[in-house]
Amino acid sequence: MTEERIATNLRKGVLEYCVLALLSHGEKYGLELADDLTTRGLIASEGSLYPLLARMRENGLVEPRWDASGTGRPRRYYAITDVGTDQLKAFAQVWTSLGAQVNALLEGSR
Amino acid sequence: MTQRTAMNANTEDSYLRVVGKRLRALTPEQRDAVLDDVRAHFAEAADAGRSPEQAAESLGDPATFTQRVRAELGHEPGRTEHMWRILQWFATGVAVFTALFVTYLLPDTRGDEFDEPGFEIVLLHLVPALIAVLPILLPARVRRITTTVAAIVLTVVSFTIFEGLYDLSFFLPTAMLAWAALIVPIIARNGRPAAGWRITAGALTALPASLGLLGGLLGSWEVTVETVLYTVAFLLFGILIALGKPWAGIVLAAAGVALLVESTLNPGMLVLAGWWAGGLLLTVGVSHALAHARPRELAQE
Repeated sequence: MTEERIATNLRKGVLEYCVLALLSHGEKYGLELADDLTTRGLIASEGSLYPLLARMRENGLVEPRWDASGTGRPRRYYAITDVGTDQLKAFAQVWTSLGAQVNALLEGSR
Repeated sequence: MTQRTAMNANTEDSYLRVVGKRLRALTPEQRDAVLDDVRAHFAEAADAGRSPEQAAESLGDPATFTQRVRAELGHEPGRTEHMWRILQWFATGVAVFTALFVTYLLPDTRGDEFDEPGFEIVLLHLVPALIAVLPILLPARVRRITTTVAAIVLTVVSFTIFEGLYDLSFFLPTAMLAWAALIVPIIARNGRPAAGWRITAGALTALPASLGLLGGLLGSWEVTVETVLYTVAFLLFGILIALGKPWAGIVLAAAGVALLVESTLNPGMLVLAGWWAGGLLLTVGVSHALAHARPRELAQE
């Protein structure tokens, strides 16, 4: 129970950067993103992805576009913006140094 | 097949309808974008061989889904209520302070023939405070109405002359705060209010000091270095407010309170002008700080 609570809190803080990281490899449509994130245990369902995408879109981190080229109904693809790329770079730096510090502390306390 | 298609459209349409209805507080662009996401989700789920019911289920029930969207976009239901409550309490607090001031301090310092005020006078002066606190005490479902009525009644009271009561116009700051309690949650429901509001607030911030300086220049009183410095300081704060800095609102509100207290301690000829200016700065300051606080800051409360 405690483990789950810690994991939930940590995931909440990094989720949008995980989305940016996934999109940095190329644009993806909603369900594709959701599947990637659920497989990695980062979200429980699509229900939490779209609200997050709404905020990221509002903050100019991602940009949606409709693609009608395939068969069936048009798809809505999400791509990372320049602002999003900058944010991801900044996050990667913070994560590296923070992770190293936390690891060092955990090593020391063992 | 036809029947199945109709059923599919049905599940999707009803989901979209509920989501659209529940996201009315968002801007049309924000709402349309979320609805597009939901439409795309149903289409992608269908391509992946999922039924519309499964697609709807994976989004969660529309109430929870829209609540999450609102929370992510800074539209927590508690956010506007928080603003309203703080402003309504400020209106009540200022009303109590005003009642004490006009009942005890004002007659004393004016050198009027001073009798110990009768209990009924004290009670009558506390009526505005009661009006200001009523919307908080009454049920939430009539809140919009009670808040509106309180603001109107307090404004009328401020401009009414009652026999045997001291200037009720001292209650105008209470009325200003009551109007703010009605207006601020509405204009800030979609996040930061439109630029026009903060520019108006900036102009109002600079108004009292500018009028003071103007009075000096027209010869009503002497222009001192202090007057000029005050005017410049308030002009600067007016600009900061117009730029949307939340902390400038807090400083301004503190200046408003200081001016109200100063008016009670040294009530001179212009006591009412100082009192109104204090009320105006307090109202603009608190409103501005609340409306421009980042959603996260409010949500943590």
